[in-house]
Amino acid sequence: MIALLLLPLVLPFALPSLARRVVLRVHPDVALWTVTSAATVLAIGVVACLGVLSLPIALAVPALGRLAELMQPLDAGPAAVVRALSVLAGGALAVTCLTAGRRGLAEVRRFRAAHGDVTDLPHVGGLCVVDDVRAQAYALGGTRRKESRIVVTTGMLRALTPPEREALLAHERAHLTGRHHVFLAAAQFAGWCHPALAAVVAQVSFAAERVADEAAAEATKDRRLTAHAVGRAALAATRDGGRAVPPPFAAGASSGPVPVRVRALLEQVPSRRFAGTVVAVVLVCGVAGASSIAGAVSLHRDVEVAQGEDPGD
Amino acid sequence: MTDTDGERRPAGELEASVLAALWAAAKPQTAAQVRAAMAQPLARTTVATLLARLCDKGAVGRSPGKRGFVYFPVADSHGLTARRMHRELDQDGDRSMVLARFVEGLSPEDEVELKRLLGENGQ
Repeated sequence: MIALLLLPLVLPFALPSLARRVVLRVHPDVALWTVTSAATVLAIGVVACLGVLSLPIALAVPALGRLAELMQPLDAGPAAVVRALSVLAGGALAVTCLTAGRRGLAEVRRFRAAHGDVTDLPHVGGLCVVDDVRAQAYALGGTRRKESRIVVTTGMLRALTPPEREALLAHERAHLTGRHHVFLAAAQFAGWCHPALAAVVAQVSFAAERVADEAAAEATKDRRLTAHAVGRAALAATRDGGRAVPPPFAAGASSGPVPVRVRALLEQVPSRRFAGTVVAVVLVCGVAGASSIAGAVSLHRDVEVAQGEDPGD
Repeated sequence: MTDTDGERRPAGELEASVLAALWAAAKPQTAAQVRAAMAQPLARTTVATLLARLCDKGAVGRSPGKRGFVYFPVADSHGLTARRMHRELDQDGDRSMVLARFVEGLSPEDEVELKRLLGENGQ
């Protein structure tokens, strides 16, 4: 049943809206793990299915057919449909691999450059301060833990009160100890594999920020203070020529991620660790996985038949 | 030495807080000024120890002031880091996810909403 292999290509379209609900309703830790794992599983499913789907056209090449010891042409369904699907899948797979490879390399280069920028700076407890009036702060995860850095500009430090600075540092430390850059990289990789999964990257990023915000609130024991630190830092970054391009957090939503984060901190939202939306996400992943395995098994049987084995075995 | 909450935290974190406080101040600070600018309640001796350690690491310099030393953060030579950093951050298009940034720029609507949430007007 070649249709089984098409389902995992369509299921990723269900994830963005589910992910949006998960990150707003479930405890940030759970949301980060759920959405990132789901995006990764679905991305692997997409690539695997494209690979399996492109087999029929590959095996139609006489040389490859002989290599696979086919004794008769592969019969995986209506010949014209299978051929068309197979060609499309092969093309999509090639494009995906090329894009992911190119972007992945660019990202690795950027990662190295970002590390190179701060290698000369003295650091204390992982903190690098860049003498610059523009307010910026970011966590730079490392391949090894001791290479991780918190980079903050003097502009940002001066925009905040001492307790707010502590909240900022606690937030960035949470990114590093949680190794959130790995989650972000996984989400981004998934986004390169399927257009629908690209929309989930913003949700993963938001979930990571929420996890770090909650950690900062925990460390400072003051949700209101943390909310003010986040809000005032955002205002300072914007005032100092930060790009006012709202990140694509939620298409059609009235506000970007920062006001939502601040509201979540101010409202003391009791976040559940478990919700129906999480079950729905797991279900989508399960169906995608089962469907791709069933499809692959079915095609494998067709190949065995073409190799001259008795289908009754 | 008083056992305050701040002193139970890893030394690296406190050193980072001291460095942040020194950078946040526009001019060299005495140990007492640093202590006052810290969010954590720290003993005088603790602050002195932290500053001495930062001096040893080369992150902080000191010079004789009217009463004791004044401390200042050591900047990188030519503002090179700032320029390079902005080159990375300003790359538009497909935004890199490598850096988990504290905040993103705000849209005008976000800014209004945020000021309302924080109870700030204008600024």
